[in-house]
Amino acid sequence: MVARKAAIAAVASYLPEGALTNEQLARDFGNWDAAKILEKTGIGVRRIASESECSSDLGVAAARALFGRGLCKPEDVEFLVFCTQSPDHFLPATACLVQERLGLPTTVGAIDFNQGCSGFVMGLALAKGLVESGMVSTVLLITAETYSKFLNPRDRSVRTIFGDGAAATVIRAIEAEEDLIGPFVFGTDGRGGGNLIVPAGAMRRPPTPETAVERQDGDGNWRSLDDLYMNGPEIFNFTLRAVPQAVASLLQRWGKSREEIDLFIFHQANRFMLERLRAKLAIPVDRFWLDMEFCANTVSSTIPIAWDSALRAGRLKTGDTLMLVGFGVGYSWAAAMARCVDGG
Amino acid sequence: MNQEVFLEKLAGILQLEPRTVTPTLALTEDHWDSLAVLSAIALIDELAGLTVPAQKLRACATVDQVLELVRREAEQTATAT
Repeated sequence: MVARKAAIAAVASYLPEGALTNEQLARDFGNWDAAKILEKTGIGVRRIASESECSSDLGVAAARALFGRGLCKPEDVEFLVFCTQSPDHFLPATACLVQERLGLPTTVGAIDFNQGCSGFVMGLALAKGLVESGMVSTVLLITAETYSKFLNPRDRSVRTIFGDGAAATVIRAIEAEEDLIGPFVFGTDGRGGGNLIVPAGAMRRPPTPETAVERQDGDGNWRSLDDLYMNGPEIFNFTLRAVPQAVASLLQRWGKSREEIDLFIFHQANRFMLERLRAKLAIPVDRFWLDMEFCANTVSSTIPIAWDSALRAGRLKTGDTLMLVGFGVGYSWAAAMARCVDGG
Repeated sequence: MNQEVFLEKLAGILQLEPRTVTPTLALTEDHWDSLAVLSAIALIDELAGLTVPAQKLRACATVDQVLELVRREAEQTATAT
């Protein structure tokens, strides 16, 4: 039976021009060479927003790329969902500023939501709800992140991993017999909150001269409470426990064979972790997207950037079935099935 | 967990000669760094199907302490299920 269904109609991405290469990292931090960094992380370059570039700038650029390809018109957008953890301001919502810059109608709804690695899939859930309930027909979901602004220049552990970037995705109502986005599986465990955090700078601990004091950790990395802290090994433990369970739950909910899945796009956290997950889940290499060499970990944008790359590379085409899995900061995780409805 | 396989693969992680990686081997900063710990987490997951607290793993001063940590975690998991 044909019904109103939400579908991912188009995806575009944007990476800032600034770059942090492995060669630069090797110069900044003596004991690693560029080749070793590439081998260990799968990352060749991180794109870095300039001092004057904020998440709104990256998000606007991604949306303009979308509009420029004729995949959507600004006047068609009825709701803007903007995912970031590095907003331009605490208030107003960055989405409001983006509405104005993109020339979206003033009849749109526009919200920010603060989420990281699970942000794109969470955003798809919100968009699906808005569309399939009949409230709106076209949602623009933008993920935009500038984690680089949270990183201490002397913290190799995080400077190696994170890059800045944005993506713009159109979710549209179409008539179809099957779900084109969904089902979903969600997860939240706040016990992991302290393992990926910017401790000071917001309301719980406002910035002071004291929070700016830099200290060196056991690995030789320097950071203050104003800087991002990541406990890589503990987060790895979390993903090894949570992701396989989420994948299994989603497959059960979906009810079809995993042989029907053409491409698995996991949050591109780091190559090492992804390779372990792929092997653990026995996903064939040719169905598992793994490409972060050109952009590193762009947090909520990794999945849509991968979608866009896979399409351009001919790795994804109209009619393909995908499993999308986002996991990380929070802890938060979300997984969903999706269909590629327009490979153009 | 197959101890022999674990020690052999741990040698690869630590970039040491396999015959030198015995339970009594001391784990020092030279080779037991954050990357080695990450690799060990993956190895323990692969061979024993479980995760061990990262901080405790990092704090292990000898290979035997790592094996003991895995044993205790396996027991806890077994009694919990």
